[in-house]
Amino acid sequence: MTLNDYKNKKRPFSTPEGYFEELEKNILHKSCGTVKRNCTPCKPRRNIAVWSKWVSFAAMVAIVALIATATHDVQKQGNDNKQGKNTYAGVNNKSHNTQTSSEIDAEYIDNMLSSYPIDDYTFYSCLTGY
Amino acid sequence: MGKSRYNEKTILKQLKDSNLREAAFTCIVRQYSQQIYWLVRNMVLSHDDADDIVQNTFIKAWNNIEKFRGDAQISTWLYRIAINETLTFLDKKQNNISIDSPEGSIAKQLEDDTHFNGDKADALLREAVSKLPGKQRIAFNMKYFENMKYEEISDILGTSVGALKASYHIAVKKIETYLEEND
Repeated sequence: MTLNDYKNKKRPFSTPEGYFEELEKNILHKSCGTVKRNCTPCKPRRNIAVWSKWVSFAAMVAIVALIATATHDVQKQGNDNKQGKNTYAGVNNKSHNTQTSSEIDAEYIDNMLSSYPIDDYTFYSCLTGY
Repeated sequence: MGKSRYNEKTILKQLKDSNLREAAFTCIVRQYSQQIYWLVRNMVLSHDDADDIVQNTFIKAWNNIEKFRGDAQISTWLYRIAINETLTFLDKKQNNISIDSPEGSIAKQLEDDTHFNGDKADALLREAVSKLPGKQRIAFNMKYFENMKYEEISDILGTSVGALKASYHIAVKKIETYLEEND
């Protein structure tokens, strides 16, 4: 027989039943003092870590944008109230207006004159009711 | 409980953490104990001797686990320890063999072994291999019985691929001659 003839032969050795389970226990008991521990290697977390970083970043940006928008809205509302641009108060809300009556009247009249091409007599009639 | 998937990179990371070292070592034992056992068994032939050597191998590995730098694969490192333990054992056994022991008794011992299921031809082959000098015997076992690549064997034994090929070729010739003479 040549060596090649032996190559395909089955391994001629055997072990007692359950030997390898016992072997593990014996090794662990003699080495680290534990009989059996869970073999739970860490799963690779790389992909999850990268994904969660992007999610956290997006969340931060969203929160900052929300705060900025809310702050801007509050400021704008405050400014609008000061300038009398509140629509519920009406256009000619003189109680909030610091200008004098004569100035408003003059401005109003000028606008009327420029907007409507009518003669002075007709305009006077509109104003006085005659 | 199902087997966890062995991941060498994760294991190496865990070995550096003292809190996770034991769990990592458990994975290593589970992953490599059978491989190491068969490597050793092929060389020492006896189940009881192989059992002792394998346990000593892993105990030594555990005692030196903090020194393991991860520059070689864990399997390579374990194989080196196992082979050193085996060579030490074989040297001791050789020194303890009495002059009265008949030559060629290994085949007879194997045939009487309850954990040997081979025939006369298998026993004779194992006897022929046992006649090889230490490192040549190991290299032959790793190549012929474990079917390992020369590069892997070179990594473990620290011998060049060329030297291993030459050594294996000589070993094959010796064994074939022995088998012819004793058939």
